[in-house]
Amino acid sequence: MDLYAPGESIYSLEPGGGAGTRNGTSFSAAFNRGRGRPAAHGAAYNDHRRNRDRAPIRRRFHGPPLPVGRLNLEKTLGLFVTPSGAPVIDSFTLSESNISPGQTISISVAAHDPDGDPLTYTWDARRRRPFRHFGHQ
Amino acid sequence: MPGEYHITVRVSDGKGGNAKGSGTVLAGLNGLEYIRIFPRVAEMKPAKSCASEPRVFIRTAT
Repeated sequence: MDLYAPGESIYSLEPGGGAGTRNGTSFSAAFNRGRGRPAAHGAAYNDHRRNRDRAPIRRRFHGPPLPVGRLNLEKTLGLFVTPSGAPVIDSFTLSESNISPGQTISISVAAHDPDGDPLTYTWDARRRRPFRHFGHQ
Repeated sequence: MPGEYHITVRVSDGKGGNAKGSGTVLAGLNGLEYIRIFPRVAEMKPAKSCASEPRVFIRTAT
């Protein structure tokens, strides 16, 4: 997906006061910042916003006429647009399936992440149902 | 308390990607008061070529 935005002679504030013009994709990015979000989320934005985004850019900003540059949204927002691969659990192993009072058993899980991201493992143990044949209600 | 315990692990990459694994432990003797699992949370950065194998322990007390 490509979006177009001005990249030359962008009218902006200058350090120390005053105003002037700047060039480059960093200034184009500011124009497309508001467009990238709905594009990444699909068609979940309303007609009002769609019509507003379709309006020529130069109508919505004051200053001199703006030459239009080209910005590749996919490259610019690559991390945001392309979801990372989810972790994959390869195995889940219990050293024992029965545990007695005072006993310790170990549980291990083998997992990997397609992107090589650090993984956080959060464990939980919950009782599902009592053993009625031991006389507990 | 004696019973069937469902052990779950949630693996997260911090970017919204998750996976879950689970198993069942039977704790069936009278006198069992509690079941502990530790560490509850662990972080690990796996090497790209091999899977990580964090291990937790369950201990019971009378």
